[in-house]
Amino acid sequence: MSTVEEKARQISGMYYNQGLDCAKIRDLSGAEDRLRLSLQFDKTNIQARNLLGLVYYELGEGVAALREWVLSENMHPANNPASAYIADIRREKKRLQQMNDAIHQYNEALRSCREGNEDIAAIRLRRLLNKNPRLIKAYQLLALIEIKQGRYSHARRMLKKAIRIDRTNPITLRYLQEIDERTDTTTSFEFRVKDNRKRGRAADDENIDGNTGAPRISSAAAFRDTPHYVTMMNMLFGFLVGVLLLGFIVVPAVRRSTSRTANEKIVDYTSQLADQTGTINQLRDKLDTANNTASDAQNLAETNEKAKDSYDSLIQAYMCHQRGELEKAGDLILKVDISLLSTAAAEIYDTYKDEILNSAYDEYLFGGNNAFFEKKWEKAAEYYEKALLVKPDDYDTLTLLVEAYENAKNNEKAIEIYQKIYDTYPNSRRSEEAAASIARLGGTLKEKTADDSTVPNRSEEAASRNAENTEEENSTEDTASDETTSGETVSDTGVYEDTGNYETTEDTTDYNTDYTTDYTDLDGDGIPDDEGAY
Amino acid sequence: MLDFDEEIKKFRPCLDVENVEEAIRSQDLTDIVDLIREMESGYTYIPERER
Repeated sequence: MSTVEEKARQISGMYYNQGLDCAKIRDLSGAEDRLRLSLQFDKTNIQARNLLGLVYYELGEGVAALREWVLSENMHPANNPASAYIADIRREKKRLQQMNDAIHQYNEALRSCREGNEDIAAIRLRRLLNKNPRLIKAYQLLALIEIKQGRYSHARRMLKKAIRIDRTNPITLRYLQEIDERTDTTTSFEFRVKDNRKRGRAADDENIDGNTGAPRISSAAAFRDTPHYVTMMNMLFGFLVGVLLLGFIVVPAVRRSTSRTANEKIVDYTSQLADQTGTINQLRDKLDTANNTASDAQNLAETNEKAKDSYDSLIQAYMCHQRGELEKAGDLILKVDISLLSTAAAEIYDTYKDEILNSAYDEYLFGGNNAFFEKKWEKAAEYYEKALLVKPDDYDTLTLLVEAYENAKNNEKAIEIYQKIYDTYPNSRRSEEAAASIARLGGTLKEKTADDSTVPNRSEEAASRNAENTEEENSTEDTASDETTSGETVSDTGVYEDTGNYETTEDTTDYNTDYTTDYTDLDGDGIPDDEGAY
Repeated sequence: MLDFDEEIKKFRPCLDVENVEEAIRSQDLTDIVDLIREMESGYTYIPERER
């Protein structure tokens, strides 16, 4: 018998140990089962009974815990931790009353659920859980009601609290699995060790650690799942943070880097451009220099060519003159540019020029006169032009030339020659006639003045003076005729009848000119002219 | 799938303070040892509450 008792006690002890291990890891359901088994093998296992009371107390069933402790104390009154547990409960009567009220409300809620009043039951359960947050059955019942009503998140929250108390409670786990299946989610658990002391929880929330040897059940592993919407929100938040970081840090940095690189490139390109511009300018200068050199070379070549021509003309002119080709010799000698000749050649030119030209001048006049008589006006003009090259101011030649042009209806050239006469013989009868001729041909006399001020056109003066002279002559003739016809002497008292039909012009003629001299020697050669009376 | 009614039936009322004395008195404390003794002695062990 003692062997059987011994064996039973051993088994009881074994189950007690297992229960203790379960209680350590907060597997209160498992601990309760094993401790019950332990007591079934040995009802006098005080440690098992006391621990079972603690388990009941942790599960929120204070009265059941009190029952176990009372039985334990009665079985073994001496040195029994159960006495201390009972004393603590009796000392805190308010706490015991709260526990009792919670149990009452739980029983009422259970009755309401069985009667179909889930809403009332839920209200009772929430209220009692505020007072006794350790009653696992209340969490489970409330979660069951929430599951039935479709509030799975609330149900999950209740069950999470129950899991904190009893990790492996089969009912709690089954209900969580049901919620996962209905919501198509997976409840994730993460262990979070809570230190009740650090959180400042009340002393009665702590487990009673008596002399049973049972360790104090301190840490509570907390499970927490993350619903999908929380995960999505976290992802969205992380995305926003990433976008903000990108916009405010990364993008400006990249832009700065890009700008810096671009600026460096710009500086580099600018310096290259400056160098190339300088090179271009240098090349342009070289090009200009080369062009100038080429132009100078071309000019030199032309000059040399002209010099060659001058030398040839000089030689040919001499040779023609020797052969009696006086006209040709004159043409050639006129082509010579003395500036291109050497000193020796220039001396030769000076030596023979006058002789050749004088001989040629006669030929030119002869040819011009012949052409003039033959009424070959252009040819005559050509000869006279050559003659003027020899003697530019020869009035006779000018006169013949201008006449040839007029006959050739070349009024433009005629006006030029008249202008030349005017310029060559200023303040003379010749110039007046030239001016009148220019006016007659419709040209404009060009005066040579220093300040280019407007000066009355002398052609008009000359025309007016001619008109006056003509009028005087006519008046004289009339007087003579009067005398002739009437036979009476009509004295010229100078009084005339004013008919009013005349034009008045301002007489600005310079009467300081000595016309007497001009009348007698117009060409200034000292020989009186017999060109007709003026 | 959970059957609400079946699950409700599994829930038992908790023991309150007013009933603790009765609960203690009616607690069956028979263990294996008692049963073996009964078997050895050849008599039926009657729990105290039934005596």
